[in-house]
Amino acid sequence: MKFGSIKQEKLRSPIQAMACVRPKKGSVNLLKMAAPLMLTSLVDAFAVIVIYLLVSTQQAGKDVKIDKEISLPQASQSQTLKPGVNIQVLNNKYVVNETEMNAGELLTHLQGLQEELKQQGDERAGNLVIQADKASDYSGISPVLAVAAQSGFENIKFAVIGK
Amino acid sequence: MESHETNFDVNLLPVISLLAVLISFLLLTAVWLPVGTMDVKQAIGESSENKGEPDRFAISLLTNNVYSVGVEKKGKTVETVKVNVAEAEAKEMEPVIEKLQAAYPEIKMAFIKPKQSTKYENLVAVLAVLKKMELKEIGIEPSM
Repeated sequence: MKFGSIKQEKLRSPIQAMACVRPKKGSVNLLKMAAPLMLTSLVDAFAVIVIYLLVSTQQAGKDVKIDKEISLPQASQSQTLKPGVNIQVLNNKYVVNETEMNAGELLTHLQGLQEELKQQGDERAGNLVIQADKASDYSGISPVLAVAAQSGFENIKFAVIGK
Repeated sequence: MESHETNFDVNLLPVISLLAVLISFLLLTAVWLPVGTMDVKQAIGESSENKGEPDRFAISLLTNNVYSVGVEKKGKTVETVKVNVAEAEAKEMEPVIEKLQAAYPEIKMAFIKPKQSTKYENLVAVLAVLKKMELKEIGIEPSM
């Protein structure tokens, strides 16, 4: 195959093209010395960044929706966020699973929820994550603690921003 | 005869463009706030009734600037120290608790008694100090 397309096409190797000092055959064609831009490593780096961002952003927002009105307090000794039943304290109103209720309704709702989670073997059973504004008074949080103890939530987790 | 050049390279430019768009989208939508939790184990039902009154440090948040750190043994207050706190971080409590820990090394439990008007930020700051002091069991008094 003297005139085969592959044979005619010189497979350009950047190292061979750069062999200016000891050219293999004849004179070096300076136009063919230009090394092609190696984009493979760039694609690899981009892929790694994309995977890192996908994994880290999934972990950061794990099952937690923080209300715009709530500004969480900062704390240095915080633990990593684990699954639990989220309860938001907003001006002495309580939001559980996007259902707003007052302190009186909280007990029956949490009792029902705890029983349901226990039956399903859900890892959130017994864990209550409290989200409250840092400027709010303890009077708004205290009923949640009292109700949590009665409804079987023994692990109380106060959501904070880690330092 | 003009030689016909065939390019066997995979065109990577669209892949790079796609990845660049993905990276910028993920960077813009990512939540960078490190949300954590301060964990407290509350006694529920019978477990709290059977244990009786354990030895513990009792931290009363009298106002948002004045706290009292006490030592309770068998339900009786043995020692009380008042602490004036300048900032919400309550760093002034650390040396006081360290001293009490040295005097009563057997106590590993702490109980926080906030007032209804106590700011949530201050409660969390006290919790952080107690965690730093490596007190294993921390509870909060729920007052209706």
